[in-house]
Amino acid sequence: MKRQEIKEKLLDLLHGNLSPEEKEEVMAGLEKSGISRAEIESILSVSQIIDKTPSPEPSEKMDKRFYALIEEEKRKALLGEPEIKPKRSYSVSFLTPGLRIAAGIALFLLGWFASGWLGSVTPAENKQIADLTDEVKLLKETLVLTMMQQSSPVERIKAVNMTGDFDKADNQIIESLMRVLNNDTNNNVRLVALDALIRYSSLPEVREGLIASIGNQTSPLVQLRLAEIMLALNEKRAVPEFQKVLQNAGLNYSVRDKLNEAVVILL
Amino acid sequence: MIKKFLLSASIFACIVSYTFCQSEQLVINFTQTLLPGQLTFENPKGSIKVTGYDGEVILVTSMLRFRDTEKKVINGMRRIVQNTPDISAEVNGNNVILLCRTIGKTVDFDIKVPRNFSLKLKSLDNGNVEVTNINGEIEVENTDGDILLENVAGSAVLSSVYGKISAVFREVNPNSPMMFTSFEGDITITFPEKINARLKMKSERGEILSDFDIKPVKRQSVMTNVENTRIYSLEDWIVGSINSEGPEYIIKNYNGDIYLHKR
Repeated sequence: MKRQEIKEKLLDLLHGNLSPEEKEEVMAGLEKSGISRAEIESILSVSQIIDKTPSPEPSEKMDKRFYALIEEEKRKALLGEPEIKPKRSYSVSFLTPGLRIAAGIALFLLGWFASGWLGSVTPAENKQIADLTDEVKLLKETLVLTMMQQSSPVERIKAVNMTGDFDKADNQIIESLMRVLNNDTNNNVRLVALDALIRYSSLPEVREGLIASIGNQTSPLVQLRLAEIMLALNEKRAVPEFQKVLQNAGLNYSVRDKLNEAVVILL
Repeated sequence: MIKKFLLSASIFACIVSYTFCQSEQLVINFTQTLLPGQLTFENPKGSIKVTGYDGEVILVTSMLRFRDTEKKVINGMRRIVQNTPDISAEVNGNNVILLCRTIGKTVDFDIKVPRNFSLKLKSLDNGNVEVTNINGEIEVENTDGDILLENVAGSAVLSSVYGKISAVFREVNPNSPMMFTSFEGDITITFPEKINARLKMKSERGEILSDFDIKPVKRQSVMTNVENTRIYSLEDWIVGSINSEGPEYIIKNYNGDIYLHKR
């Protein structure tokens, strides 16, 4: 078999489209050119595995959300805020000074009203930009929420760090940070989530969430940080939770000191 | 789901040598595809040592640390010692989960995996975790013992409570944040000279020592609301960058020192 022919049939061989005789011929040809049978077999098995592996489909929810966003944008573009058409320019020559003054006053008045009129259009444009910014934010949020569920702690830390980019986090982000703080398998990830939540500590639900999570923590660094935060927030409602933790005989002595201190100061 | 796991494990895993008194080896045949594999292992009691090697299969050697050697005769019969830890592996795609169901006894593990591998390791009691020659994402939690990483590449998220952490990186993944925390132990990290990183460090009661020239970065201000009073403060970390800005590395401990070495 010629080299050229072998080349042409290689792809068919990989996809398993050759008859047994043809396969044998190509393999023999390959062997002549110094590729052992074992190597060919291993390449074949890898390609079969790749063929068989189903490529992951984006979830239905994600699809829906994506198309909904596009539809929404299209609809807005169709309805559209009216565009401002360029005004025709008039070239008028006024002869008498009286008319010039009148024209001046008229122009002034026109300017006065025009500024009011234009002023009412600009917010509409601003709104379009704001809508777009909102949608980018929404997409980013979806990304962050997805990343928080990854099995890799590095991805989860990245996701928690990304929440700092939102000026004002919505409930979903806060809820998922809370979930990380209470349920994440890695104590380091919990620690970064806790630090991220401090930004929202003025919200009552975040305060309550932080207090409720005291009992869920086993890492001394997380327990200590919670004590510091509760002290900084002067949060008296944390005292009973700390007292429950203090009943644990195996508690780290440094944490015990800190919690005792927190209880004394807060009470 | 579990059944599927066990089925695939029983196909892929076979015990090669099975002796009563020596260490045992579990061989896990593993077909590495384009994506590197990941090994998850939580040892209830004992140490874990993982070494990257040039082979393709995963070799798991387990050994009871305190061996039962009492030879006695009961009712005229010889007593046979039961030094056999109960271990199994579940293989699903690229993920390998190793399980040790022996409760109460200390079992030390020596595991060999292909070099490009990610690890999720946890020792719950009575042992150190050592990782050598691995290129991948390394996640280790070891409450009581030390965590030692030698000649690794990629990224690491390590935490201990009573143990020390020591990690020597040959290379780092330029996009991955890393985290090293211990409560009572020293943290010693060796990075290649040319890494770019933003460091956030804090040792509550210890010292921070560095070979690197760390350029201080402005700390961010934090606002908290305490009963109608707004309190502004700067975040309480040492923040600095090595070379230019890069991913964030958080290094934190309470009673120990922090050492940063150049490689």
